[in-house]
Amino acid sequence: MTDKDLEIVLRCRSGNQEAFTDFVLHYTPYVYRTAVAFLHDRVEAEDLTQEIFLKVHRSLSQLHDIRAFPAWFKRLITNACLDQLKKKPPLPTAELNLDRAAPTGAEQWETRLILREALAELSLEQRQVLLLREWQGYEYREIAELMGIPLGTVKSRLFSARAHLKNVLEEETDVRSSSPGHDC
Amino acid sequence: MECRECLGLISEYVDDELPEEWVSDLENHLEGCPACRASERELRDLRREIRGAVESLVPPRGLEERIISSLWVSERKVRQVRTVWTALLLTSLFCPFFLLLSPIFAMFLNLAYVSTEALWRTGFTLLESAPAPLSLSLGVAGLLVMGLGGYLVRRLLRDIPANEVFS
Ligand SMILES: [Zn+2]
Repeated sequence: MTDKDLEIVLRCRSGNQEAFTDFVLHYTPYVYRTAVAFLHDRVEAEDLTQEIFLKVHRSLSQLHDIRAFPAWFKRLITNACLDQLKKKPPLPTAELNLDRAAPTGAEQWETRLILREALAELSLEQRQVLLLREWQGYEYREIAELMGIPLGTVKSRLFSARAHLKNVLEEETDVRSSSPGHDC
Repeated sequence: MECRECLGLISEYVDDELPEEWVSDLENHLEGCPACRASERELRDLRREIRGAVESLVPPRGLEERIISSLWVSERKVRQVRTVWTALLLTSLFCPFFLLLSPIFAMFLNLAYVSTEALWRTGFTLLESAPAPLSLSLGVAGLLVMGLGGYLVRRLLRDIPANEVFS
């Protein structure tokens, strides 16, 4: 956590409205991305982002040690996402409305698009474990605890999720290298 | 260590979750096996790609503003609900108390009424029994004193800020 983050959180805890506005502006992208990655539904992710900030606003004063904020915040977001998935599992056909806005690097953009589609193809359980590890950076032990599954299951789900994504990316590279005139 | 075994453990190795005693074995194998090394690199690349894919999600325009305004609305609602509940709670707590003390309140009220009535009656009797000019001047003086009293009270309340009066 940078000094700026710390300062914003400190000001928020004193109940300063303006500070909380800064807090929302600062953290919305992270919260929203996490919610979309887990839920794979932009509308629901937006609602959940709102709910998460409401929760933070109500319970931030209960956080006594400011250094615990990053872990506390991450846990709150993760639990909100997992709870939402438990409450309302996404439809198997749920599709992410991928924004095809102006890409910065065309090839990288395409890889990301493909990867996001591949993430959507994973089973819900695999995706959850993979995101908890790769995006949220949790340890196996923590993932097992968060999802209430044995450690061995965490490992096997992670292994198969990665195998699937690797396959998709490899296919994509093969297609790209074999299609002529693509390297602009 | 064989490639088969190595490939099964790379995932844990990349996550820093491989038990200590296997790490050196695995690293030894990786050093001598380009295929497994490529596999390791792929996993690390995949992590970077996944993070990049999630990072590339852009919040819809105006989401922050919507969050902030909905936040204040719901906070205001929460506060209103809390105020109503506090008022109800206080009232229900004090109701029995007031009921218990109501005879005493009634007694005081009655006392005030009786004593005021007695005072008025005494005043009128005295005024009536006094000679006419004296009774008239006393009446006028009484009115003047009342007016002066009212004026003084108003002045007092105007000069002193309300919060000081009630503190
Ligand atoms: Zn090997």
